[in-house]
Amino acid sequence: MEKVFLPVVGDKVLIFELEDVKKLRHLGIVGVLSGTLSAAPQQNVFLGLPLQLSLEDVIWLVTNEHGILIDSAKYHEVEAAMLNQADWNSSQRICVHDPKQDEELLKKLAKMNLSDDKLILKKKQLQENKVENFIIIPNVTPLPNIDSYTIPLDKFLSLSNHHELISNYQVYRSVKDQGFFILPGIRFGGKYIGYPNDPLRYHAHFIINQATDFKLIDLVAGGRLATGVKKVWVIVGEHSTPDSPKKVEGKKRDAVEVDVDQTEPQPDIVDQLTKESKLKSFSIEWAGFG
Amino acid sequence: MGKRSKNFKELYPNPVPITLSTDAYGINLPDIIPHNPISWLIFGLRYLQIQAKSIPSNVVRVDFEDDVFKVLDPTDMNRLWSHGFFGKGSLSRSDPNWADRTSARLGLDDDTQQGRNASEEITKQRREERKRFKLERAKVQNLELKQRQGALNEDEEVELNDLRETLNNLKKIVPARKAISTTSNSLREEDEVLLIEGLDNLEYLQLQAVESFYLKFALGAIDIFEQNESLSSLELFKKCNSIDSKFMLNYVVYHHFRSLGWCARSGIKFGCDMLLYKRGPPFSHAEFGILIIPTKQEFINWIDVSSVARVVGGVKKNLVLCYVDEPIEDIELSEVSDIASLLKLYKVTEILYRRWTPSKSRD
Repeated sequence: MEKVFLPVVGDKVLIFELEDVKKLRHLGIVGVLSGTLSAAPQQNVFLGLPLQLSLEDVIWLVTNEHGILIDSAKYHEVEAAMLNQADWNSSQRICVHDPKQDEELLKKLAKMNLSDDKLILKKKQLQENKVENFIIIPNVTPLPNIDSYTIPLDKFLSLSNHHELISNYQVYRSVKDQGFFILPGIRFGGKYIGYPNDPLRYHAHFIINQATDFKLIDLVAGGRLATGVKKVWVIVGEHSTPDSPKKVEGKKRDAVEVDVDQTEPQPDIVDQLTKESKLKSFSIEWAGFG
Repeated sequence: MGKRSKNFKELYPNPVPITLSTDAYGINLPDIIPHNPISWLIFGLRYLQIQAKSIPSNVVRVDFEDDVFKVLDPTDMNRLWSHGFFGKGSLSRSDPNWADRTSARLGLDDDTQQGRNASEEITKQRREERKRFKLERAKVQNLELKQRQGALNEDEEVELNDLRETLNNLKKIVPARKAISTTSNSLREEDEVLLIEGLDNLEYLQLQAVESFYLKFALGAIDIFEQNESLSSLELFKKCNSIDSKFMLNYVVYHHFRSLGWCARSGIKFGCDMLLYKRGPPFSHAEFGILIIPTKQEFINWIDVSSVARVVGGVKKNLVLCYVDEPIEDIELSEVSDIASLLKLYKVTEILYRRWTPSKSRD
């Protein structure tokens, strides 16, 4: 399958293309719809395109070679430079402006008995509106010269601040690679929620958290919450053998970071993300409900 | 309800385990009528009469063993529970009623109603009722499904109607306040020992560190012994700090709410630090769940907070975030000599946290 274009807008990946959304869904990437529906702008319960992907989604897509990150702004520059005026008039856009509407408006104007000056002014305004009524759909076809607008993963990751990305991603990957669909879990007080398949067909089964540094009282809250909404609270963590105690590892990394500023280059984040890791997961249920 | 509240007044007379002179000696101070000097005189006499007697002391003995605060004497256990709801029975869900429950179960008492009315028994019965209801409902739903498929014969139709009737009756039953019958009379293997040797109360009342310290330091209502040696407030304070590094933080908040008249108990059931009851667990459900946040803490995991908020909100309580300002300089808690002035350095600010959904809060 052809790689899906993942346009980077600001520090986010936003998918405007419906076909791409479908392709991603087949890959088990759901994302979050984030665009206001123009038909119902006063609510935010139901949203439409663009689809926003989480960092983990993006990393998974790129490292598994299902997607390619592109700089949305540069892409459009390249596109604009390539197209001549004729192409510009014919393709790559949708006219939301209905010519029939213009005719009706002109008829109305004629009926209004306006003076010539005003009529000309109104017509001019109409003409101006026309130009603004175009929407250009981005990122449909791969253009030649692809290197000029793609972004490597590490550059994309440096655009935003993230907390514990590597360990989070390893948790994400371990669940995702078992065929589950993953959505952000803040609604259920967790890092992720896991669906057995498409969320439109199934309820979530898991609330997934990272198993580092949680207190026993969090276990009470998590277990109660998950069982209360008929889910299972899952904790996933690195399986550390006695040879590699976690704390020492953490200290070492800190030490490296101190040195990094002066001499050593930053350890490659992409390598760390794709590194094999031994994870163990546990599910917790609250048994106290009758 | 009226009868119950009267009964409650006898069972739980005081919010703290302190005996007042007026109660202990049965002398009531009369009202003072400002323009009647004789009433002043009578008041003065009564006052002196009380002052002449010693201060009634009804101090409870608490043993500190293996980092656990234990009250072993049954009357003391009952006193701490009924006067302010301190502690938890080690073999019970909350109030120490193991002995009552067991003697009711074994039929040792003539008056077994007490044991049967224990909260554990009521819950058990309610769960059985609910289980029965669900079983009946499943039968009805099965038959209804058959009916929709048109595969219902006459007998089954009669059965369906009967079942619907019973289901409606079951719905009408008010959840039990009193357990009517002991559900299982089968003896357990270990009961033999109890029956032969007589029922010895095996239960003790377990106090939290904050509860023990509050009772000792703030109320002076208990004496604490470690290996039969009495501990002073200061010694106890240091002991508590060595057991639990967050003791001071917990205690500041505990003291704060107890002083304001709330009954504060552990919030472990709902994943928060504390629960606040208006008067106590038998009177009403807890109204607030407390989450303690030291202001020094830089990183708050809001996902965890939202998870606790959902749990607490799910049981119709409100979550209160308690921000505690600690003294700016680090204080070595093991070198403190004046606890009262240390407490003055702390400040507690409460913020009510509530999940707000715009679409549901429009009207």
